[in-house]
Amino acid sequence: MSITQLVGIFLAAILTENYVLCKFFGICPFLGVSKKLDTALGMSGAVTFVMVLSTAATWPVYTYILVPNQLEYLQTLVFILIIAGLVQLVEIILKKYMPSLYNALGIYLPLITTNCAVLGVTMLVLDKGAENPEFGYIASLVNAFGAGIGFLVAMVMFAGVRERLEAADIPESLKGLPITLVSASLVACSFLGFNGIVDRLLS
Amino acid sequence: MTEQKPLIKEFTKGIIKENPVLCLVLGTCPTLAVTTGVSSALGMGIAATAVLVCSNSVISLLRKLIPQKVRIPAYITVIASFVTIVQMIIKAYAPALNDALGVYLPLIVVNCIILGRAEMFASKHGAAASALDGLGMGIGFTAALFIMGSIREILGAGSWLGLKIPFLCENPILIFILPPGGFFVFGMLMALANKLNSKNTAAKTNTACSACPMNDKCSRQTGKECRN
Amino acid sequence: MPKLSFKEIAIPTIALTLICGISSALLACTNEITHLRIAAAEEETKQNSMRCVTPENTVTFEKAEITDNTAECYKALDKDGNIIAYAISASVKGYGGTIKVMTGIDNDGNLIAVNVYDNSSETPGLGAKTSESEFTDGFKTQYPKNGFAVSKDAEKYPSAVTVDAVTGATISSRAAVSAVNIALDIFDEVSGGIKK
Repeated sequence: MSITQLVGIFLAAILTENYVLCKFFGICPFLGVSKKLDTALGMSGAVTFVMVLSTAATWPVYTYILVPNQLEYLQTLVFILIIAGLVQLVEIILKKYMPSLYNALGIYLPLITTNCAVLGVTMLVLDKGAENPEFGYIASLVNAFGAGIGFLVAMVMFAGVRERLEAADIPESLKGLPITLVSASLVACSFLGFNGIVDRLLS
Repeated sequence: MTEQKPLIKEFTKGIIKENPVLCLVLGTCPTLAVTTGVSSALGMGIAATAVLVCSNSVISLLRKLIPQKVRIPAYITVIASFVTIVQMIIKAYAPALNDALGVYLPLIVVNCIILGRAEMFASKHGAAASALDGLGMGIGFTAALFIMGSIREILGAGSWLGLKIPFLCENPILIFILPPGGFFVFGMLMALANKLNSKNTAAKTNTACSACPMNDKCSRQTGKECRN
Repeated sequence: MPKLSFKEIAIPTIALTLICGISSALLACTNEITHLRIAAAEEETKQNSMRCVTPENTVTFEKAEITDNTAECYKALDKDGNIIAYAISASVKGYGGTIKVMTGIDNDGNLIAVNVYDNSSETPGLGAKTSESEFTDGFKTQYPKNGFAVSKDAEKYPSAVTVDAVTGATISSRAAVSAVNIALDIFDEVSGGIKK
C-alpha cells in the first residue's frame, strides 16, 4: 500500500467515516464526557490508544489463529475478551511505569472496555480486509488510529458546542440530553459536507 | 398471587417507566444506527431481546457460582456467546437482516442495556424474575427502536415497512435517514418523554451514567464529571 | 499490595476458564448446526441474482475462468448445454462499503439486466436505491463500446452511454456503473469480444 492510500484511509476515517457522527459508535462517552474540553481530550486520547492497541492485537489473532482453524465464529467472544484483558493490562502497566500518563488517561480506561467504538473498529477493519486483500495490517492500524483521531475531533468540537449551550436559554423539556442531541445533530450535519472530499483529494 | 404480582411488575417496568432507551438512556448507539428503517429496527430489537432474556437467565442461575472478582469478564463471556448464537441463527435464516444490521449485530455485546441489566438485576435476583426483567427491557428497547424507525422511515424515505406512502415517497425529507436525523429524532423523543414524565411527576429521567454498569468506577474516579 | 492467597487466585481463574470453555463448546455446536445453512443462504442470494439477469430458458450455470480475481463469471447454459448468456458479478467500493453487482449479457452483447444484489453498506434511501429498477433499467441497452458513465460525468467520457445517477447518491451510482463496466471487460475476455 502506498503512502497516498494510507493517508486516504486516515483522512477518510476522520472525516467521512467519523465513528461518532457518521457511524454512531461510542455515543455514550460522546454524550457523557464531552462536557469539558480537558476530559474530552483525556477520554479520546485513551480511546485512540486502546483502539490502535486492540487492532494491533486482534488482527493477527483473527488472521493467523481463528481463520486457519475455521473458528471465525468465535470472533466476537475472543475480541471482547482480548480488549477487556488489554485494557486491564494497560492500566496496570501505566500505573506502575508511567504514572503521569496514567493520571491523564487512566481514569477513562475502565470505561473503554464496553465502548462499542473499540470493538467496532477491530471488526470493521477486518471487513475491509476481506473485501480488499490489499487492506492489510498496516492499513488496519492506520484506520484504527484515524478512527481514534476522528473520535477526538468530534469530542473536541462538541465540547466547544456544549460550552455555548450552558449560557443558552433552553425550553424546560429540552434541557439536558435532548438539546445535546439536537446540537449533535447539527454537528453531524457539518460532517455530511465531507462526502467525497477525500476521494477527490487523492485521486 | 402475592408471589406473582412483583414478577409482572418486573416485566412491565421496562416498557414504560424505566424504558431503557428513553428514560435510562442506554444502548444509544444501535438506537441511532439501525433505525433508518422499521424492519432493521425491529430486527435489532428482537435480536437484542433474545440475547437479553437468555443472558439474564443464565447469569442469574450462575450468580452464586461466579466469583465476585471476575464477574464482569464472566458476564461478558456469557453475553458474547449468546450474541454469536443469535448472529449465526440470523445469518442462516434471515440473511437480509444480517446484511442490514451489519457490524451492529455483533456489537450487541457491548450494548450497555445487556451488561447493565446483568450487573444491576440478574446478579441479584432469581432466574424467573431476571428473564421477565430481560423480556420487559427488551420489549421496551424494541418499542423505542420501532418508534424511532417509523418516524425516520416515514419522513425520510416516505415508506413504512417498505410500503410506499403516497405524496411522502415523492418528497422524502432525506435528512431524517442520514446521521443528523437520527440525533434529532432521538433528542425530540427524549424531550417528549421528559415532558410526559414531569407531568406525571414520575421518576425524573435518569442520566446515561447512573444506569451504566461502569458508573461506580467512573464517578469514583472522575468526581462529578459524569452528570449530564 | 497484599499477597493474594492461592485460593483467591485459583477459584476465579478456574471459574472463568470453565465459563469460557463451556461457551466455546456451545458456539461450536451452534456453528455445526448452522454453518451449512449459512453457506446455502449466501449461495442462494447469488443464484437468485443470477436468475434475475439471465434469460428464462437458462437451466444451469457454469463457472468460467477469468483473470480478474475480484469478479466472478458464470456461463448460463440452456437445456442442450449451449451458452446463451453470461452472468458476471463484480464488487466495487461504493460509499459505505463494497457493492456487488450482477450483470447479465447475452451472446450478442445485449445487456439483459443489471442487478445490484448487495448494497447493504450504502445509505438507506440514497445509495441503497441503486438496487431499484428505476436506476438499473438504465443499463438495458445494446453493447456499449465505450462502457457506461453517469450523466454527470458525460463530459469526461463523451463516448460512453450515460445512465442517470440516483439523486444524491453519485458515489454509489458511479460504483455501480464501474461494476457494469468491469463486467463488460470480462465479457470481452470470456466471449472473445463481439465485433466492435
